[in-house]
Amino acid sequence: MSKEKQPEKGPLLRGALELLVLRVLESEPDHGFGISRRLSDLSKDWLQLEEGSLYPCLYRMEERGWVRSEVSASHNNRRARYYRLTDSGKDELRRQTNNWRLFSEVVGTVLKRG
Amino acid sequence: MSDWVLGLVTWWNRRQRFTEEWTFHLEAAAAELEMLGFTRRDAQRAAKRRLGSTLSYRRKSLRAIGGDFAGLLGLLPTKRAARSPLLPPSMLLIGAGLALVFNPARLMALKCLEAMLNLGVQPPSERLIPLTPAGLVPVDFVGFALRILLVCGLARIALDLFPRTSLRLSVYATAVLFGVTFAAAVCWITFLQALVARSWAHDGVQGIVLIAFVFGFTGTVYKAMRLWWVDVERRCPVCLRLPGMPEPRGKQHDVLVEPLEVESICFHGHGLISESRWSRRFTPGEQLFPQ
Repeated sequence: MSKEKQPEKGPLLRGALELLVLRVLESEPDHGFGISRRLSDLSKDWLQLEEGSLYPCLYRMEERGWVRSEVSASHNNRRARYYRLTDSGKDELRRQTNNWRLFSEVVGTVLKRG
Repeated sequence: MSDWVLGLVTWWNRRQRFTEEWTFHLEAAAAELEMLGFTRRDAQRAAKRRLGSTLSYRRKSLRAIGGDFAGLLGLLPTKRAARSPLLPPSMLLIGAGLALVFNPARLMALKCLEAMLNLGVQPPSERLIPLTPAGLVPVDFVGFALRILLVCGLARIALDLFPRTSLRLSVYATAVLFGVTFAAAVCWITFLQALVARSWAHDGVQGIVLIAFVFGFTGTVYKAMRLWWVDVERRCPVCLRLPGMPEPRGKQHDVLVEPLEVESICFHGHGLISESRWSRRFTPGEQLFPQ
């Protein structure tokens, strides 16, 4: 692929991090490092996630009741805090997914007409 | 007290949480880089670089989980403490005590204080200023004025408070009155000592500062005495805590027959305090809810 055609790696859109974290946690509970790795793998290293900003986001989501955290041992037997999606988080994921689809559809429509 | 300890422990745990998770993340990222062939030191350095500014993320995280100063205030029972009868006398005593502790000439300040409250004799000041002991300040007139204020305050307690309300409220009013007088005496001595100890470029400036302080001191003591009495009258005579949930009552156009009043209730159910521009009265809980 030539340099001009290669897509630029970009930062996450504002608010998209919460949606992505909710989506990652939907399948199974995970700790902060695991979430960042899975996000990176799922986006094929395209998304430039600021790993440090993940924790403020996780705490915000816990404060809103979308995720619940509990301390347990990680795969290398270290003490880690695992985050699990709550029922309210599942509702929020559905709501944000619909909003995102609608938003991208509208933007796509405008771009096609333009 | 347990609420205070519980609040502090919760707040401390919140602060520890980010550090624990951050350390785990850093170590996991470094281990991943080590597996790619980095040396341990380079891996840790690269992981730190990838994670970014710890301080900035820590600040955001602590704000999100209430681990910052605002979160601490939210956890501690500060509103309950603000209504407590222990707050005014303890604040006055702590303020005066700190002023004495951090005063370099505290021994002379204590002697001046004794003389001011008529408990001891002040060392005599010499006619030649260098022979006058360091830290000695004039206290006779202000001491006399404060003693007069103390007697007036005690007379007011005896006439207005003691026959009508509980003994507990009279004791509280007396304690706070003594606290205000003591704090005023310490304030006078500390400021004058600082004023004399400083070398002034011009005597006129020192004089102006002294006059300004005398006026400011007089105004502050007057305001403190007014606040003392308002505080005493506002407190519940049974538990001495400040009431809350103020509710305006009355008719705005009928200020003489039915003046506007603010009703506040004691949170421990001891009664109702009604305040208007002209009067304050306490209605006990037994009259409000007769059995």
